[in-house]
Amino acid sequence: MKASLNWLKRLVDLTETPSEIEAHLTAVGLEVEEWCAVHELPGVVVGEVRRCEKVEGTKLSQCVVWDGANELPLVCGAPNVRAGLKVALATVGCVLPGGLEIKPAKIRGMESQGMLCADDELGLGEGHEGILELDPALRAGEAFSKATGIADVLFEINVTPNRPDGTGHLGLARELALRLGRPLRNPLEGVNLPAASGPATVPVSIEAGCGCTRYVGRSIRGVKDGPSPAWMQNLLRTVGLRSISALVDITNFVLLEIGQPLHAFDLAKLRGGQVNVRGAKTGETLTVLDGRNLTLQAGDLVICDAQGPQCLGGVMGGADSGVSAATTDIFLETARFVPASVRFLARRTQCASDSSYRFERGVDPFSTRAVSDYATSLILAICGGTSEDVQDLSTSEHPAGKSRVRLRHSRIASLLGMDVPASTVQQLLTGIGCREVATDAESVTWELPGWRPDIFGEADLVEEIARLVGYDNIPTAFPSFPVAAVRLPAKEKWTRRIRRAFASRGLAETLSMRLAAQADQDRLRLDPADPRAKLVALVNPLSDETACLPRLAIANLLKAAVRNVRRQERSVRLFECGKVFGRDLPESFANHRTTGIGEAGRLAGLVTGPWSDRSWTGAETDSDLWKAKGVLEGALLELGLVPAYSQGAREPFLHDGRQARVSVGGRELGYFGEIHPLVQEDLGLKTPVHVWELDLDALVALLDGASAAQSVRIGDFPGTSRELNAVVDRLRHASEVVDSVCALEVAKNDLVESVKLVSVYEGAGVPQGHKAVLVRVSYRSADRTPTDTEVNAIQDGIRQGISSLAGFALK
Amino acid sequence: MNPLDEVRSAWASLASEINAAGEQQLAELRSRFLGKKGEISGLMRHLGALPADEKPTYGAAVQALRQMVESTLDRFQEQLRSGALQARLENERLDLSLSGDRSEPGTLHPLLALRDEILDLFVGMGFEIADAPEIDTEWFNFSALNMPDDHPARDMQDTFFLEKDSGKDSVVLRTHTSNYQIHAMRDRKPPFRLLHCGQVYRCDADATHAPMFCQVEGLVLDQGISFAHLKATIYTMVRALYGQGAILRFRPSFFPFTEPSAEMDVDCRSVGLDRDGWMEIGGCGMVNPNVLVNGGIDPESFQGFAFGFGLDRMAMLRHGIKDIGLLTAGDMRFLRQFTGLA
Repeated sequence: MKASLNWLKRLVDLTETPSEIEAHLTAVGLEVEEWCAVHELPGVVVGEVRRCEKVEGTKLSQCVVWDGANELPLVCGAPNVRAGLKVALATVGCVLPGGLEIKPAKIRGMESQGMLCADDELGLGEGHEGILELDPALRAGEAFSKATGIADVLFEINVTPNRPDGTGHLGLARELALRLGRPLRNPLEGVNLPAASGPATVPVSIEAGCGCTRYVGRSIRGVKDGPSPAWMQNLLRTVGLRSISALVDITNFVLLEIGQPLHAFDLAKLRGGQVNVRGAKTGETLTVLDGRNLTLQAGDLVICDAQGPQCLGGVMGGADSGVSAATTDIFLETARFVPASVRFLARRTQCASDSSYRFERGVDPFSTRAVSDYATSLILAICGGTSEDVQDLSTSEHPAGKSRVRLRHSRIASLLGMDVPASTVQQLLTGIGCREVATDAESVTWELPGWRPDIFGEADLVEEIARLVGYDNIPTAFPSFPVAAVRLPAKEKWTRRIRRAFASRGLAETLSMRLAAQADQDRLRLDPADPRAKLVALVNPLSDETACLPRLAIANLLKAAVRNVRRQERSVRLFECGKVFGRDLPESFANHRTTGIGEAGRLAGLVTGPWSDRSWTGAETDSDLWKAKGVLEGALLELGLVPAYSQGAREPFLHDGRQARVSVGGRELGYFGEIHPLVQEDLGLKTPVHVWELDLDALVALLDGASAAQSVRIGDFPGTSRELNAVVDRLRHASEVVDSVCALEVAKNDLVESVKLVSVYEGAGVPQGHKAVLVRVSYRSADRTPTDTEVNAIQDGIRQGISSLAGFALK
Repeated sequence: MNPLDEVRSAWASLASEINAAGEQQLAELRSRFLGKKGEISGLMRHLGALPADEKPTYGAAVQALRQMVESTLDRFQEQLRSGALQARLENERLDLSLSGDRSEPGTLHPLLALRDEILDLFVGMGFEIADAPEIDTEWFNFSALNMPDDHPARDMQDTFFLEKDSGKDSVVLRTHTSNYQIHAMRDRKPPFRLLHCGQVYRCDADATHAPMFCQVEGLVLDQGISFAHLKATIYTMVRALYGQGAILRFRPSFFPFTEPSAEMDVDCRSVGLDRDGWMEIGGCGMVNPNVLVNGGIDPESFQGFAFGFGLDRMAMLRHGIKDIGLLTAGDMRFLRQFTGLA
């Protein structure tokens, strides 16, 4: 909402500086975003043309202009310049709003010190037919802006959607009057209209349920639509409205002063001389003021003449029926439209206007007639003419009376934490227009003003009291609570530890936009039948790039890798504890409602490009699968989780021979592997990319469920060890050998301390397609030194056990 | 010359030789003079032939000579050893300006590190951390928070809608963290102090707005909780975050889910910003009775306050980040800068 200081001063006495007014408005919840002085025009003074001679053969005149102190030589090209004229004189040194700096000049050899200005040069309008002709009564030498009253201050106010009263100067002035303890000059009060010229001649009808609940119409005949008065033009100009004509200016003026939109029809253009407020019929059309031809839908609220729609109710006037210079008779509409109906219509037709902005918030349903009277009085005073009897129609949906709220004294104290004296409450609520209608020992019942439809209940009135008392005046006090052992929940606690484990291994934590492109998912070669292939899509995305919700965390990390590599940043090491979404994932808070879309936490990582632990050797090495896997394993082991890898389901976006399912304690968590060479190539990545993606929620559950590590007795007796070399198919996991040894009954002997993989070998001495897996079994007892005999017996048992397994041979 | 003097002069004549001697020569000299059959031991053989009154003097002189020779040889031997060690150490010298074997330092994300800090702050104030979904129905995101279908407040928040199964309530990406209020109220009984922090989404993108951003929200419900309690809690929070000198202003505003509602502004200079004026940091207010009802709580029995603010701008101010897009770009050059955010 743009507000003019001069306008506010019409309604309440103000001597405060603009920044004081800003502070007052902001303090009551009408936040001033900024304010600025407008039309100050320093250096522009009232001048008097003392002599003026046309220069032969040109359009120029050679003048002498009196600036109140000196007679200045001046050359002017305007056709209307003449001796005796009072003019706007831009003096040497001044800079006009368009940026033009006035300098002494010589035009055709004639000296010129200053410039006589037209409207547009002063930023006051678009007229350039000639220089401004000022009131002859003005004194030469006076500052132009002051003398003409155009200097003003413009406030830009952020009116919250609950305050329709803040969309008119009257509402702002009411708040200032209350805060400053001054009377409000309400222009709606004391309007005296001359007696009507006769009964209403334009019949009006309202269709029930059409979205209009009250319609006040009035025909005014014999008007003359000339320019509006300068004071009105000045106020409108400050808030950015160009003067059109008196009739248009008056409707705009009342809208901006009161907050109630009006519409003036040219009565001659209302076919059939009647007004019908109704829902549109399918296929009806209307050309609106901005020139668009709209095809209406059934039920759209329209104001019609006998032939069809002439106005989009509460939203925008029709191009055909508005007033023009030729208008002599008008029909003035002041109505109350249902907010939701206007909101819907303005959105669908994309016709947001000053009117719809106000109707959507709700105009005062009880002042419709008073606003019509006020506007009529202005029209009669400025444009002349006579008005017929007013027609004031309401439907049964119109609010029957002002609503009432019972406010308990105890509620004020309890919600605010302070006692507000009853007299203060009375003064403040009366100030915003409430009326005390009943009292009892505990409460007062208030009748609410029509301009505050946002007030419904007790809490709303308490808010009014709080904001008018001033939030600064409410004390501070600490609530008292029982002592409670509050800790981070498991998810936060463990996610934090996980994040630190990965960060300490040289990875950078990232936060991916949880909006993705289907195209990026499509690159991952997922089978169309895979439930993860089709992403959940937004109905109204900002762009294709952010049109869906991510289902694989790795898609986002791959995108980041591509972006980094394109910026010559080849070494990419990222991890993220993020979220993925999908219809195949379990839904959270499903006991509260269903959305059909699940959310799941994911721990994902990506490593590619140069990775050299010793940076100064000059040899650049790329990270490889083992480096990446080392990061993942190292972090999990630090957290006390021992990962196992199995050859389960294959991910199509990973290298077929370089991927594994990762599990801990028998629970599968996700995958680790190398990005498939085709995907890597498709993404334009030059070095192999290693990734993992684990179920973060499951990981947290494992960590939270883990029991504290237990100490085992450590003896001081020496141990011994034996090795075992098993030959297996090269496609089998070496870990199977270790697992198989551990699984043997004989290996569960107390003397067996550990079974560890020593080496894996392929080549000479091992059959083609096989590998030799060397495993070391360590023996130790806390109580004694194991004897060779007992160790050998166990080791023989292990050898026999392993060699009897299918696919295992001992070397 | 008596034998004692002979040995003395023999030793004295060797002075320069000793200076240049290596380990080997020193060992030979030691054997020649101090060995069992060495020259000094040999001098004692003459003891028996001396008169009784000269014996003590002679014996002492031989002993003194032995000690002198021994200590001299020891000294030279020690010099040799330390010289050799010195040479070895010099030879083994390394350039310690070179970095050790290490990977590049890892980093935490600046926004998520700030989130950690905020959560800790509120846990310290006795708040329980609550979870909430990012995908929700319009009812939880809007209607339950006192924003009915045609409420103009819905215009304040450009909402992303999701494809929905027919017949169900519209599904949205939550536009604010406030949806947790309803979930939290339905899962617990007051009194409680709750905090939730997470990502929210709006159809908006420019240098200062991202379609996804992070909000934090608190909710305190009990009997008799007042606006005065809200003010004290917010002051404590803001001063913990911005320093004890932070100047705070509560400004009347409008949120459908609180009544009275306020916006919280901090004085820019009081929080170290190099500009005049106020900076909006978030909103707060007393929970609207309709919201309590939708959460299944009797507004006549319990009342309380809620507050919320965005984390992105706070992180950007703290670290001098100019473009909000960097927070989600995954750019290594950007992320690597944030070391030390443990």
